[in-house]
Amino acid sequence: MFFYYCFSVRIEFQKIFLDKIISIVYYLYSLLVFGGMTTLGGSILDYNDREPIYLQIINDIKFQITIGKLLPSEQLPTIKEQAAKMRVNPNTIARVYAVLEQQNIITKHKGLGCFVSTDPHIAKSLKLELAQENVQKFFGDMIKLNFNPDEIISYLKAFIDSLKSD
Amino acid sequence: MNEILSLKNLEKSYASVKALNGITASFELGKIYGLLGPNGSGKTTLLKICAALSMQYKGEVLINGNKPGLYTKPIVAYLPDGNYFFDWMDVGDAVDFFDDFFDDFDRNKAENLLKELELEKSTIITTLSKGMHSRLKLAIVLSRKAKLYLLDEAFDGVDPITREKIIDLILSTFDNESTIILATHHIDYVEILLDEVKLLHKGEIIREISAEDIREKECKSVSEFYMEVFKNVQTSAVSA
Repeated sequence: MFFYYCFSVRIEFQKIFLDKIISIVYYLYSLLVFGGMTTLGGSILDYNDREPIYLQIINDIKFQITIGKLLPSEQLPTIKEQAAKMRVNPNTIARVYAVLEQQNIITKHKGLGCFVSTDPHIAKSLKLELAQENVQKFFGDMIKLNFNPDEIISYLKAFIDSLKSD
Repeated sequence: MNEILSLKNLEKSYASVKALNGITASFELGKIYGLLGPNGSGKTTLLKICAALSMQYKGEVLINGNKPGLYTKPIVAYLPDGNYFFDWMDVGDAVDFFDDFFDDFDRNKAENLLKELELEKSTIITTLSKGMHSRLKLAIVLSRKAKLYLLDEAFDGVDPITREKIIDLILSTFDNESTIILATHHIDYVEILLDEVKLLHKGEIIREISAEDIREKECKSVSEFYMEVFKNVQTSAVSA
């Protein structure tokens, strides 16, 4: 089951070790998220109702762009369509689209709708952005457990080695 | 900022019971509000006054600048808690009745909703189960193109499938030219729909806050926030 996910998520390993760590943490995160999250749709059960919904949807859309489920220049559903599909308040979606537009991830064309940015590098830059957030969270959590940075790296390496031997 | 409903120092008593104890609040167009509070907090009383079904009250209530009555009924759609129809009616009669009564009733929408919600026109309403009765009430009320929808306990006695259908129906009816006020204690069903919540306790609004602020600033779900607020209210009453 694990290896099904391994082969379906492609990672580019960097030459520098730290970048390797970032990639590995991102890969592990993808297993959790990709396995657990439905694609731009679903019921309230898919959302954590203790965190702002609009932020979760923004991250969901960024993730879809990163993994190529949403492509540059692709048209997004209208606010009302998206709200109906995701079963959330349309004002939440309006806020999501407003923030994404402000971050230049999507553009609004008057009368035509909202489109993913035409920038071909957007998937890559979002990937790095999301990876950075994941790594920060991971490191923060491990530090809370009183691991030091060297211990974190060797712990992670041992964990990945154990996966390979499955 | 387009205000559709404004309440100023609204008071209402039933004999010796003070149901509403000075409510001041404002509701904007294009938002979904949760009017949350325990049983007996005054939710139904408040909605009935706004629906122009309860004309005795103190204070000011303005809907689009008018007092509840002749000029507000055409733009206000009210879903009551409990039975809404005459005993002799079947589903088809209920649709006809509303079609005759309200100019903004969309007959096509109603017919489609009946099919989708699996309601047969020939069924006598009193023979409907609680859940099917809820479906019918909602189909009828949401077939009106109103500016203000007052839904009192839309999810009471409703099964999970019906619940999803009702949520979908609310979302398809709502747009930025209308406002929906959901009075409920089934907070977890609706919290993802809510823009703002107003917490009602013993006839007073004790908290007004946006749903996302609850999540962002209090790091709680709306449901948890509600529990916390009302737990504290109980303890302060005991220590008083």
